[in-house]
Amino acid sequence: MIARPALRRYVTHRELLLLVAPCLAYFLVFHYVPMVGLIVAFKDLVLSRGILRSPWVGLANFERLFASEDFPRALRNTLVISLLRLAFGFVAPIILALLLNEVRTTWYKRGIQTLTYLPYFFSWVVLGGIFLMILGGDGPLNSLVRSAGHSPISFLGNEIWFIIVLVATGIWQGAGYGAVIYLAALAGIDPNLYEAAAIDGAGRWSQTRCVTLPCLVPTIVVLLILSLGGILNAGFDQIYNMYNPIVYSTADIIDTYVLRRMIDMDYSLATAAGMFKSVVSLVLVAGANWLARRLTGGEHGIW
Amino acid sequence: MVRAETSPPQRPGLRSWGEPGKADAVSGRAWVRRTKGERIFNVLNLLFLGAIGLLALYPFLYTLSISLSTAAEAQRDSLHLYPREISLMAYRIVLGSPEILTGFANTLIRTALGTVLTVLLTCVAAYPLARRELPHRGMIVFLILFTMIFSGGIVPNYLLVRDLGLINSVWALVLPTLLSAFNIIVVKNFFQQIPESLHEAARVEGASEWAILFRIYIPLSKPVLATVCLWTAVMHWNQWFDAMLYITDDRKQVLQNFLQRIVIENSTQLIDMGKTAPDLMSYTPETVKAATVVVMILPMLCLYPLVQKYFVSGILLGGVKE
Amino acid sequence: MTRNELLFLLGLVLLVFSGIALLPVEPRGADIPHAYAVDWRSVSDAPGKRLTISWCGSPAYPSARRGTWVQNHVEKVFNVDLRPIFLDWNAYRNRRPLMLSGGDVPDVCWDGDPLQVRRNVHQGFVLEVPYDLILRYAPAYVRNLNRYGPEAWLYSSFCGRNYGIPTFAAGDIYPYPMLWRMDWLRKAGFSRPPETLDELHTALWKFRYEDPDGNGVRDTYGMCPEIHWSVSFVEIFVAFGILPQDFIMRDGKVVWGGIQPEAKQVLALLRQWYQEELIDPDFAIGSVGNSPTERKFNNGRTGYMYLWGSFADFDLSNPNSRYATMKLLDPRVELAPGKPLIGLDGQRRARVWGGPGHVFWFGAPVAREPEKVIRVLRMFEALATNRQLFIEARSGKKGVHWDWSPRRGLYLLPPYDERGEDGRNLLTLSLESCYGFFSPCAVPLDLTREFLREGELAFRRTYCDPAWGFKNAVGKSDVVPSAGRYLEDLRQFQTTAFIQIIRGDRPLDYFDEFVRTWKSRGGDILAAEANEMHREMQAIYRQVGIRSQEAAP
Repeated sequence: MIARPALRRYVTHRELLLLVAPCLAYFLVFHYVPMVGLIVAFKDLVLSRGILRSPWVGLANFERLFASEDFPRALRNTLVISLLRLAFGFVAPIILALLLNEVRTTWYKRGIQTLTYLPYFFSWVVLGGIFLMILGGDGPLNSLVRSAGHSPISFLGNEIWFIIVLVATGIWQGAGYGAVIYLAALAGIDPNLYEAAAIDGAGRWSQTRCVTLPCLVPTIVVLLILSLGGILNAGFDQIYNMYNPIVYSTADIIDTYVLRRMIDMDYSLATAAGMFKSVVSLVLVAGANWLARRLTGGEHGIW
Repeated sequence: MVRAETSPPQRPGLRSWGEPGKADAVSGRAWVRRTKGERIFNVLNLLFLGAIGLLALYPFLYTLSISLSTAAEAQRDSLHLYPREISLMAYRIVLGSPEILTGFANTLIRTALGTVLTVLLTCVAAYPLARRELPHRGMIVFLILFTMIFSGGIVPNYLLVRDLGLINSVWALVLPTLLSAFNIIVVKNFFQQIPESLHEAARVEGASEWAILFRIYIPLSKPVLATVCLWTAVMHWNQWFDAMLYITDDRKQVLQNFLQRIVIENSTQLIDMGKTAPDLMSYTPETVKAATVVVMILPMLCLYPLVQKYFVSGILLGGVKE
Repeated sequence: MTRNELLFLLGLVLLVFSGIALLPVEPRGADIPHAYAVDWRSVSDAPGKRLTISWCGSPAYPSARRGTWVQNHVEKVFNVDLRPIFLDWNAYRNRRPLMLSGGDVPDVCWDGDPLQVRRNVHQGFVLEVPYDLILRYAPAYVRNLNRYGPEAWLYSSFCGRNYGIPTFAAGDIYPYPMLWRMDWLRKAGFSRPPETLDELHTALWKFRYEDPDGNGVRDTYGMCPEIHWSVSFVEIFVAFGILPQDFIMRDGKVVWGGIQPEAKQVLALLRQWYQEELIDPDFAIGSVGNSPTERKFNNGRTGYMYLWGSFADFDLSNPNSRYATMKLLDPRVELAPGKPLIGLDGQRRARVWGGPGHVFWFGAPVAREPEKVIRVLRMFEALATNRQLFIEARSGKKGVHWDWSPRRGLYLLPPYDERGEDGRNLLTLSLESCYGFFSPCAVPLDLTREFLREGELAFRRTYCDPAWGFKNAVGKSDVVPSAGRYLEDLRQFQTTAFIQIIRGDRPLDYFDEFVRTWKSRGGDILAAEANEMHREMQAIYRQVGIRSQEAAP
């Protein structure tokens, strides 16, 4: 029973509600309906029968997932790669921003910024193709290696090197973009704080440690939590366009696994894997947010 | 940047300062007099950053160089900073390929359609959410934000698009990514900074919410809309995964996917089809791949210097404030 | 958000997911609904009626276009309107499943893998075609199939029903010859290619260490095998009596070759050879279709190759043959074929794919126009009996597209002999393969003998004797039901494990652990099922009129 006052509220603000309706419809159809579609994870999907008439299998798909060799490996790889990307890929833009901040010549700073920011605009189809050429057995990097006396290294065909390449090229692509964000934050730091520190005799390094970094913490925390939402993606675009079966053992992640299952037309298994990933992702973000609130006394966090 | 008004009091016993206490115009920092250590640091820093900049540039230089090389030059062992022997055959093959041209057209269509619709609908969605009087505002915002941290995944989305009959239609590329929670939040935050007085004044004059949105809020939000527009356009231009799943007809396929076939999957169909290039010495699969890459990224590279400042300002507006 | 709203949302979530958990579980793989059941007795096909058939043939003609002479000819003879779909291998493997899932199911589809057929059947894309229908409309075709590739019937069989028309390739009963750099061999002191393992070792050693190309740099290797499981070191394995990645018969039972004790012996040998640097380390990098094997051999980096060689490779008069192109790069090249090695038991053996080929299946929507099935069956029958038509559907018209000469055998006439033009026009000179686009089958060998080159017959008798053929006991391992779940994984696991043992990344005794793991990771299940299949094959044979195993000539 909708109370009278509530109904009146709807009428008064009907224009706003009308404006927001398409947006709600969109999210409902393209985001929430697929969530219901997750029941495919509990069925054996036969496309010609449709979702509703495909047989139920309960938790059998999840059992298959964890009994297989591929999925636990993909899970492990996802976590490892994500952590590596986080550790290196998160720190690199900060360092770059700090270093750029120290540059007093404006044109040089802007120039470097422009250059490092550039790779962010290209998809990994483009970048993957470029790196496949550069890192190949006949590529320039290997010719450097050969002229140094080594036999050519298979950067993309060796399990460990592939991961190193992943993290390095990930930094190459994203550091510039991240640096811009941090530079903006750095520009927002109250100069009086620096003056106060300088008065107290702090040198450059001390100023960085005591003023800059603490002031960056809110930005860092927000960006960290934001990126946690996509953490289990572990750079799918990048990996898919550069990987090959030889490096599956370290580079196969959940999303590439899901894609291969889809191409095999094993939709139920693919959905089960995807659902697992979504749930873990959700737990991670909620947990991180809670942790951030706990640790900083309710100040920092997304919600 | 605020310049310090006063110089600090001279305290006995401290080092004398070169530029007493003035905040630096560029970095906001207060400089102490440069010690030798700091000078060395500065030089190293400049060199290091320069190297980083060159590293960022090199892969593109390499690709350009290879694309313009003859077969022999391409196979030579070198860093390929510039081609010593030039051949335009690779470009002739690429630009003469009907698939590349179709893909280009399809990508343009999808980008244009997607960007226009997204910007429009994002505004339409962000405006009510910026108004505090919207009923159930909190829940709606929560519902939207929730989609950022949980989703059905690849397969349920694929099944949905399939069941809606959108396979092989440009709408399959436009609709699923029509609105993004992130963009809505960014625009919403911006709208919230527009003075309430404008709204009240318009209300007094009897304007509908629709009119207020289009006559007042949108014109005032050009910077943030430009940013959203650019982010969306870049996303659409680079998007390949949805086209891979939803487009099975090559006449509707986008350029990124053709690029992927040539560059990642090593398909030589491009070279084998169409006109057979008689002169095997003037191109190799590598040069053709490189040429395809260059053709793909050229539009971006051309527009980049012009729109760069929008991206930067956009990040300031939205990325930091959540 | 108010508390009520929150509770409402939570309640909804709980409801949905508890519903899922509580519903009853049905057995997996329940029967495919017979909504596609067709009453074949009432179906008739009037040859005068023009039918439109969309045809997704083999992915061997990616640059082909519609309207080739072959297509027009077939359309004219059989009164059909063909809509061909041309794919390359990548598109076939990665994009066609999406095409089918997206709802675009062609009338006729080619599948090279029984595994793929099975997946398509499971998703409901495939129409059932009963045995008696095929026997009624294509009896001669069935006779040929039964003679040269009866195992193929397994490829289209699923849950006791038949889902397509299997094809066979008469050419696949011949082993491939080994390819040798005879000039390097001469320099190493050989007057003929090596025939035993010891001789092979000596030759490889000299290829590596005695600078056979005379350029003063040690940049040559003995061999760089292709990574594909069907040819990866297989010539060595068969010398020891096993096929590494196939099922073989042992004492009346079907077992997997790769876990037999002989495999360990082979690995020990290869390990040693790798340490002696006889094997190019790059062999492990390639992926199927993009491996360095051919490149290295053609460019004079390796001296020996075992990879799908044929009489055509050695034809110096053809500027596009392997021999000719290699000679162009290096005039000292002398290419020679080699017989398979004499094994430890004194027998020569070589892996052959065997007669069974691929499957043509019909899309489920054809149930609405079942006369298309009959028309296609009539097509296959005509192609199996009419020699003229068969040649035309493969290679085009004599005098226009092709001609024959004793020296060149079957050859294409200009402009079809230009690079890529044959594929573009759907012409194929290989009369024995089952990759023909519209003509799936090969005809009896006595036919193709006419079109062999002069000397080719003798070549085959010397280097490609079918008596040496060593084939998989169940045709293709992929027909085994659990192949989908385990086979790919096990193949990959075995390839990786063998590479690791050979390269020295792991010790030789890792092999025992490999065998244990292989068995527990589904290998035992596969072997048990393979034995099942063998029995099933015998049952199918009875249905299609094979009374006893008839040997191919």
